[in-house]
Amino acid sequence: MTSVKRKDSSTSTDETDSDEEVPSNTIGSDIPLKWYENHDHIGYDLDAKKILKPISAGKTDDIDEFLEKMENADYWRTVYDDLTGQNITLTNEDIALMQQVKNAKTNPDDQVYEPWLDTFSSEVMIHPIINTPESKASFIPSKWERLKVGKYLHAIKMGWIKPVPPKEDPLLSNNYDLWSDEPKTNLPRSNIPAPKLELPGHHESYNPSVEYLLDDAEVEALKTKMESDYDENERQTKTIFVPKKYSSLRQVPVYDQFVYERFQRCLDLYLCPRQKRLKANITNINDLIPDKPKPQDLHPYPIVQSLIYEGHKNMIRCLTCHSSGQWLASGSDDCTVRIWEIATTRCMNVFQFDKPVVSLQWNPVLSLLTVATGSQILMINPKLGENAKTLFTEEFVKQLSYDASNNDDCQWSKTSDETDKYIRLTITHPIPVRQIEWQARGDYLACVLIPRSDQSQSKSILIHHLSKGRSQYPFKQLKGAVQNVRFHPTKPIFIIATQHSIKIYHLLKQQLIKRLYVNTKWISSIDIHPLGDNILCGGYDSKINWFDLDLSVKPYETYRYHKRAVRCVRYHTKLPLFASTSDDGTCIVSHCSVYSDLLKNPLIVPVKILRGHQIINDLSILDCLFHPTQPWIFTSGADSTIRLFTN
Amino acid sequence: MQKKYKKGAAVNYISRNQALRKLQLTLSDFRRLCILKGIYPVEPKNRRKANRGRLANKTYYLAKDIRFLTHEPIIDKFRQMKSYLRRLTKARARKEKTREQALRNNRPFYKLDHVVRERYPSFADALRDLDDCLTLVFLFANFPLLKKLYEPRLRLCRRLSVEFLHYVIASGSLKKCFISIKGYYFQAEIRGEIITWIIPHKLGHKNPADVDFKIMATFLEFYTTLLGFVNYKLYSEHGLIYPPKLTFTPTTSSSTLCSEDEFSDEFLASLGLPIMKKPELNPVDRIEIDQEAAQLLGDTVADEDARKKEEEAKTLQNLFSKCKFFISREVPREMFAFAIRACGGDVSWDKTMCAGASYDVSDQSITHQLIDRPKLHDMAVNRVYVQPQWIFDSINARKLLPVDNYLPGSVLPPHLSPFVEEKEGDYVPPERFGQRKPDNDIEEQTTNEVPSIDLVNSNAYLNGSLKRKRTENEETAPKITTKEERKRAMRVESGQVQ
Repeated sequence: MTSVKRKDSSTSTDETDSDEEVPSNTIGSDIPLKWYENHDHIGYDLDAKKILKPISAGKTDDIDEFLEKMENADYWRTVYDDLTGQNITLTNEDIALMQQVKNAKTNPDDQVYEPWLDTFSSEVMIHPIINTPESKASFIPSKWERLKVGKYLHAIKMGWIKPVPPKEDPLLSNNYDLWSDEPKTNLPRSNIPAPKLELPGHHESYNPSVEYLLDDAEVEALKTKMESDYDENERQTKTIFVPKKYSSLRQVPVYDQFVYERFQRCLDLYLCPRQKRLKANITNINDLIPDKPKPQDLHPYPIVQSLIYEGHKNMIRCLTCHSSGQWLASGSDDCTVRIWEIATTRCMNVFQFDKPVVSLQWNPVLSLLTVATGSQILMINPKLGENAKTLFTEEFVKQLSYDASNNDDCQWSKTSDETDKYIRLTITHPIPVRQIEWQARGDYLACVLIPRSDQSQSKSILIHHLSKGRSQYPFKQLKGAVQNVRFHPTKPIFIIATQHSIKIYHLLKQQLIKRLYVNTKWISSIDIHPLGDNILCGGYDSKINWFDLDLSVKPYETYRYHKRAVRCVRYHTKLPLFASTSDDGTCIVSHCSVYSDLLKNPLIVPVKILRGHQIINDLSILDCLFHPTQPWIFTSGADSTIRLFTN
Repeated sequence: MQKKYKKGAAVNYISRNQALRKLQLTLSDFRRLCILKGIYPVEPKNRRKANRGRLANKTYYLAKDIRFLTHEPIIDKFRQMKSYLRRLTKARARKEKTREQALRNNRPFYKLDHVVRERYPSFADALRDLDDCLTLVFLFANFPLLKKLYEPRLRLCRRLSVEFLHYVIASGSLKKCFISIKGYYFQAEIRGEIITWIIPHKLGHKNPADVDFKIMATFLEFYTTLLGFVNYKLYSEHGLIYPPKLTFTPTTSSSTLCSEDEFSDEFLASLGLPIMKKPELNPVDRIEIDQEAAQLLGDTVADEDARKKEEEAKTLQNLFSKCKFFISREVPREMFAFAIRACGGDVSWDKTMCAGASYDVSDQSITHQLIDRPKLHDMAVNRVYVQPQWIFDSINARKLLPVDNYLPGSVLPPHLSPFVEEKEGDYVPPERFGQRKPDNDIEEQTTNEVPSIDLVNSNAYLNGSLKRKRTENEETAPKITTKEERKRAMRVESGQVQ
């Protein structure tokens, strides 16, 4: 067996023509070796003699191979060269080169980082390489660019392209009052609240008293109990809690089950089936009594007297506020109606009449101030507020046409712009008027008259239809002198307060729905809650009744906190407030939260007693009125002033 | 004839799989939706009827609830999110950078405002359900800011929790507090609603193994929205400026390297300084109760109780008003600063410990210093050194307890839970009497005469320079008995042993 030891490249150059040198490949690399497979020789030398193949080169048997492997230390680096048919022992250099190739690395001797020779800029030549002049197109602005820009411009002008709206951070968008308007309805679904978390006992303390610490046996018992309770089908939520005592706070470690417990609670909240327990678990009967809310929590309500409106000469019987909350109108016994600007107390207008003004109200829709004086009802367009509304009212009144023959008892007459600047409509009755009340949509006007003793009481209520110009007595027979009437805020329901009772009629069905039993001797005033389920009723015997229409026909609550006759009761239209005024010179503001949940009782708490009016001839505050939007209240009194109380 | 299963339980309840089919949602989306909308399974009165006669173990939802879910706009957002993610992965795989950027800019998001309003139609409803919300928000506020947990929300949690604590401080509504092994329990009464929450011990964070943070994150999503609105409402109703601002702007000294906003946030988070109020004529908290009006309905027992309660609240609000505290660095600063400030005390700490320190340890007017180490070398004579448990015990007892038992290095009396309400026949640990009895012989010396001789003695004793005299007070302390005796007493009273 022959093998050729390859020399290092440096030495091999010196010994190229030594005799031991085995002839190298003379057949050339493109001649396939298999052509010589069946010959003894391989190629020819310069003298055209055959070069004999080395004996058994590359064709050793397994035993030779094994012996070679055992004896030759360089066996691992010996490879068979097909071209020469010889075994070649690789040098260290060869191996290093192979490893380099295998690892995809460059030869460290190769100069990879040769300095870069910049052919063009390193030597600045005096003559340019290319000397063609620049094209004409390079001086002319691009047409296509212009068209493209024009397209964008047009799109921006037309509003097709909009600037990217500023990004809203969903995490930081809750800077507003979500509960600014109190709810009208409760949840539509049945709501079973999840039980609250159990509060910790003494044993959970970081420093419990010794009796709460567990022995080893007790801990074992706890563990076995836990295991015996184990149920495959159920989710494991409980962790074993072993009380521990630490002598000082700094030794308390972090509780490693904390996150897990929170997680279990989260799972409980959304995975656990809930069931409503109909049987309440009451241990203490006092728990059933709800806590009285703090006055701070009942805020806002009127507290301080802020403004006084002066100008009337006699006692002021009635007030009304414009729906915008900007104007206030007051009617007085000095036969005038004054319109005030609320914010400044400036008197905007004064209307003089012949008889004392008993009642007035602003039309909820039109710009018509309706005034009841003597036996007349006058509708005034005071031309305040929105111009459009004023003009609309003018137009509306103009296109009304009345058939005089229809109305036997009352006389409708229109007044045009030429004859009077403000008064637009006059309805004249044969008998004096006590009260007027607009329906919420502003088309019907209910009117309480004072019939003469020889007339029937059925003539005491009259309903005027403004757009039709018709008037009718809706009741054929009525018992008792009518004191006050109200329309239901949303439904076609009419409420009449006579001296002793309150009757509720359905106007479309034309039937009596309910009759409320009042425990006052003489009703002075009633009001209906803006949601329409509660009625407040004040009496001259200083009682106030609260009726819950869903509950009973008897009063839900009776208050006797006024010392003298109650003159007026009013609800706030937006906020949960009501007020009552009395001859004792006080106006008591109460908080009243009404819930649509039938099981929950209304929460009524008197929160403030307002004083300020003088008592003249045993009369003090005659009327009160809440501002339509703010928690403010106006009171008018016998001392011919109006006072505004604000929060 | 009426067909069977056409009305009643069979149609009122719907199983979970039916619900999924109806809503066309995947299970995970359905769960997310249920968490956000607060829909939970219900237990039908009769399972067999609900399942049309079959007796298989199923989860039932109210059919009405599911019908209510069908109108939810968030479902649409879930679908948008799904297609957004699909597009994004596609763009990323194709290496379309501009498209990817455009997609990211238009990432769909949903807001939960309407859900909060739906679930809590009134503010009182929201307050009633605040316990879980606060506990989870406080937990996440204490987490390290990890990318995995969506860092901005963790920051939001921190902010909201600090805001809430500031509100409790400003309104003085803290009622009870308790140091448990699990964490610090606090209880506040806000608008008549009792709210309890836990703040975990702030000591490192171990990632628990068997917890699915995705579910917690969904809860947190809703809870942060809720707490944001609640905070806003509480602040605006209490006449405070929201977001909270300090009454002064902390001057950025040259040594701080952060922006001014972050600097004031840090001051705010320290809980040591008061926050700004709205300039109002009649701030809500200063409205005087119209006593006359309150008595119109007549005096009842409930009124008497209410008055007592109010008095108690007032004493609690001003419990530490005469004290000036200094918190040593080994005491968990935040909890104690909160508890002290909520009860009207002044508090400070080492300047290097946290921002917001208003006075130094050497301040002569400090009356109490909280330390939690066995011994301190240079002690000032004119102040009391107490262990932190004294604060919590005093708050729960509604009076300043005698400091004798709480001196540094001494064996502390057991810390009892204020949440346990003993009924007749229950076992009451003997230490309980010492705190509860109003006419206890042990009366704390009023704090204006703090540098009294007693104090000097006790401090000197601690320094080792004086031997402590036995005072008479120790006679009245609960009798020390062995553990076995007490345990037996507990078992006997709780009825385990005759």
